[in-house]
Amino acid sequence: MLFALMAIVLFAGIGMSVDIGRMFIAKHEAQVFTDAGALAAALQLDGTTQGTLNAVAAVDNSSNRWDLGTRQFSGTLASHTVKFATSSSGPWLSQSSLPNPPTAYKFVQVLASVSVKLYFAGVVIPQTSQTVNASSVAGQTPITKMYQGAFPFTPMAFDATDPTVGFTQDVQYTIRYPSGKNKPPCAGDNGFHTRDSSDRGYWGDNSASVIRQRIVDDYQSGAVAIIGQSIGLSGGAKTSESSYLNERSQQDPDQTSMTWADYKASNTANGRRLVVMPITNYNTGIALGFASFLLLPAGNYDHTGNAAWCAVYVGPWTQDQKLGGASTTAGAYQVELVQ
Amino acid sequence: MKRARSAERGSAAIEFAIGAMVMGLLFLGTWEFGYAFYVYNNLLAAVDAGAKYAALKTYDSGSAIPSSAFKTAVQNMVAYGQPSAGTKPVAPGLTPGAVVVTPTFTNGVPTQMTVSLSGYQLNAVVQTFNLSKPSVSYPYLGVYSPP
Repeated sequence: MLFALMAIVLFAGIGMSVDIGRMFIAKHEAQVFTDAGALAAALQLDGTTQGTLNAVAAVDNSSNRWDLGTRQFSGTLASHTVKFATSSSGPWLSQSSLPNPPTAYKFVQVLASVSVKLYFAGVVIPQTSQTVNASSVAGQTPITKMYQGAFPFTPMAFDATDPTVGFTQDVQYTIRYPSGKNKPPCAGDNGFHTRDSSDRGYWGDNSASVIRQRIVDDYQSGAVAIIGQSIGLSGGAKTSESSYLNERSQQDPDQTSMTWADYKASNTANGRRLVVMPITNYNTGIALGFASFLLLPAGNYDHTGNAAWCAVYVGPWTQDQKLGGASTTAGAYQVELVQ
Repeated sequence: MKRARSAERGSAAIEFAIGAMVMGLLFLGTWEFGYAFYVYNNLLAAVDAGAKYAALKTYDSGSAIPSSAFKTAVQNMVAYGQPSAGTKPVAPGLTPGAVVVTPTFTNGVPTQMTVSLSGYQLNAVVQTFNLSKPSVSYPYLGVYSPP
């Protein structure tokens, strides 16, 4: 009799451990799903309604699974929701409740809920399933220094007090000035180049061994671009730079778009012509901020040094974002988990 | 009277034998599932860490076939919790060779990293499970540096 009683207690305890073990795994799987989903969704936000629809689709189409990797986070036993906010602390709105356009909505919250069936715990507690929840928040957050990914040229600003340093979208600005003084820069720049010929727009390490890595591979070679500090202009007169610029541009299947709107709408663009560059004060060489620029199609970067090299000003830059991001203020933004 | 006591002793022995067998099976089952769940949870954490690492690491191949250095670093991250080779795997018997790294390319650039296991044998108490999971995918967030 005693044995029978003990056996029931033991059986219930053992069963509970199995059910709780499965719940731990389900919780972990749900957390992976919300983390990856929130990041994928945040990458889609570009300040448009279509961007938020794409964000929801990115979560819906996640390949991450639960129940030992066998079930999607939808159906009768699982669900997920995607919400948006302008701040990482909310308030959170569903896609259908967002204003049109959803300006500055650059944070995403993904919640997942799964119902884990209890096979043994029902012997001691009156329920046959337990709901397990997970949530993550990801967003586009500003950065003020870049250790990797910054393009080794710097357009120069003539109006350091303007919020966008005087730059206008779709206008071409000089990323490397012509050799010698008093030669015309690109269309958007004010006046003529009067700086020393060694300060023509290239910054950081310009040794022959790293120039290609810096232009083609976004490698900074130890150089750090920090807002408010000198960018470290270092000449940039090497003709090899032009071939690497053309090579970089050539990696993008879109070789025709010359405006941000056209590029963004392009079905073939892959983002390789989009680069993030520090913009520096023309007079002091101090970095004022980061911005996204569209390189011209391959072949536009002349190697003789007599012509200015230009790029189209886009606006705020968002990491790995071919769509331009959801931020309305100038600067560089990274996509990261914030909760 | 003597015969009755003897029969009682015999039935107690049988009861003990049956009880011990049931208890043994229960313990064995608990150990089997408990250990399997414990290892699977560790594997999930390791694959998740590897997928996150892959999603942020500079991608230096021009195609969906990762470079040897990239692949090895991710495999080590899963197996040992660090990009370089180690000696103590995060789960018993887990080797870098059991880790599969699958980048997804869209329009010629990496857009997603999927890390999974293939051929990993989870040796529980009475059964060996051949696992081709967990599998975890993250959007690619690193710097693309084609050769």
